[in-house]
Amino acid sequence: MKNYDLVIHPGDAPSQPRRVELIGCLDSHTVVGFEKSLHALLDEGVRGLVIDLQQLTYISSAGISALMGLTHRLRQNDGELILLKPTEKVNRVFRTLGFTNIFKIVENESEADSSITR
Amino acid sequence: MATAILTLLLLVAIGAIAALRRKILSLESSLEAREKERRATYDFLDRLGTSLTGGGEATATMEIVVEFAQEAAHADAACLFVLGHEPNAAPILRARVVRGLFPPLHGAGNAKLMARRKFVEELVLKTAIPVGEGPIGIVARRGQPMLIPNARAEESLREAVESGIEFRDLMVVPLVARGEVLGVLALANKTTGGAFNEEDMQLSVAIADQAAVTLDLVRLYRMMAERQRLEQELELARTFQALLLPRTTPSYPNVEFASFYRPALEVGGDYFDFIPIDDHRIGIVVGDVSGKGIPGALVMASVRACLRAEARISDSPKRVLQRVNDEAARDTKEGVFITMTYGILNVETGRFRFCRAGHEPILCCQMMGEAVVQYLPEGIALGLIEGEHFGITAEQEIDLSAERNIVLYTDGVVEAMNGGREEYGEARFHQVIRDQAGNPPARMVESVMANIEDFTRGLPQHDDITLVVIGWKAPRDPGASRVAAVAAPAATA
Repeated sequence: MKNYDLVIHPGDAPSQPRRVELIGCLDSHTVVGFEKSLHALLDEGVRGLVIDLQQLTYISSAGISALMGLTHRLRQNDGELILLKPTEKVNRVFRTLGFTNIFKIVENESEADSSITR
Repeated sequence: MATAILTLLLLVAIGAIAALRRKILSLESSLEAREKERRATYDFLDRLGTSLTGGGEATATMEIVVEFAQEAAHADAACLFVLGHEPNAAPILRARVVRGLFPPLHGAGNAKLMARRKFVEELVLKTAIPVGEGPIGIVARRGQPMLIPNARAEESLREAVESGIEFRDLMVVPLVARGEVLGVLALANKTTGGAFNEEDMQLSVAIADQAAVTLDLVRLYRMMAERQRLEQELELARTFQALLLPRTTPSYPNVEFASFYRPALEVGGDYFDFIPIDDHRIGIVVGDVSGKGIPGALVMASVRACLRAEARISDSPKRVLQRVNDEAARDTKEGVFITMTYGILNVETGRFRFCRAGHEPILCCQMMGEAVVQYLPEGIALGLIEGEHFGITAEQEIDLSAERNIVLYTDGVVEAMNGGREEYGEARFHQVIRDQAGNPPARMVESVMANIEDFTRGLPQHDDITLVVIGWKAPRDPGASRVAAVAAPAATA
């Protein structure tokens, strides 16, 4: 079983985007916990989510589906999901799938902040 | 096999229980009473057996046990506690079945409410006792029975004694199977004069042993049934998928095909197809559904139907995939997507016009030793977004008569893993293609698969593998220069 961790940074205010760090592997085993934790944040009313992917080493189609689900839910409520600094390997998966056209992927923090602010 | 074990146990138990009951009744001279008890014993064991063969429902079994125990042991009330192991919490005993007016061990308060039997029963069923606490918890911890002939003398039972419900004596016996404590049976207030004694205890222990064995078997049965159900579901999905994949490989004067498909042990969702459109054109598709098991297979079946219908009426791969995308985006569950490459090959000219919906790159290798060329036109996986956003997906053309080989595959090929969790990878894959370019497609397919087998050393596959190689048979035209793939202008939807 590969490793996995999810670090959720405390939010300043409910209206502010929340930052989470996704570490290790997001596959069909780890995706269950991932979805549970993040959908719980959305249940709390979080509308902007920045997922830091710098330490994500692997993502499977199950992981992609999970990100899709979160994006869909956030956008339905006028919110947004930002993917921050994916590694070359993960970015390649996004590019092959054509996800660079669907997901909001940014290379630095300031881009992340401005992408969410409406 | 379980029936044989159960029969054996029944025989042993019948002997044990019958002997004990006879002993207890030896003071009674009435033959009638003894006969009645014997019948009751057989009836109990028979019902236990039935509850097991009927598929095994733990609560029903427990009710049979408590009912019999209460009567056989001449107890006014009985309660069965089950030991539960909750994640991240200490093991705890929860009351599951109660008969008679069993004294509530906790929570008795309001005297008026206590006068109502229903309320008392509900209170008892809410009881949860940590292992080690009071007689119930101690018996669970030690796995040894406990006899309390005078409940009033027992400090740990004070709350129950003062509850207002009659509480004279108590027998507590563990249910132990294969060395594990499954629960505890508590019997209160002997009805036939005097307090519970050692013989009463021995009978209760025999009943509890039988109950434990039965409950253990119920548990095992449930686990086996669940595993069987899952295996059946996967087997069904695999059979279903195999039915939908092509059984024969097409062949033409100028073009030959070779393919390889092998599902993983866990059903994945790969798909490939050859769809003849007319006598000089054939549609070729390779795809990968993200969902697993039956849901994945159903998505694949639906995509296949839509694709085959559209392929016959359209000569634009992009338009075909657009329609498939719209269907998929509408019908599939949240998060399910399909990557796919669909192209139309003119088997006379070698012109291959294709579209890549988020799928692996299309590979070509002109000649042995030449570099592998990757085609990665813009494209989005199917099923994610509806309508015009799919429009960025571009069509591209390859001239097979110049390129000689076209290789289509799914990620199961490059992501095949060995024992060291290393992936087979593009480098190795491309190397085999380079080594085999110019050979018949069947040779190339064989070589790739042999190379993967060699790499994975027989480790079970974790994803479906699909590989399709299209080769141009006609002799190489010396005048043809290498035709650069022409990107068709991105048409608006």
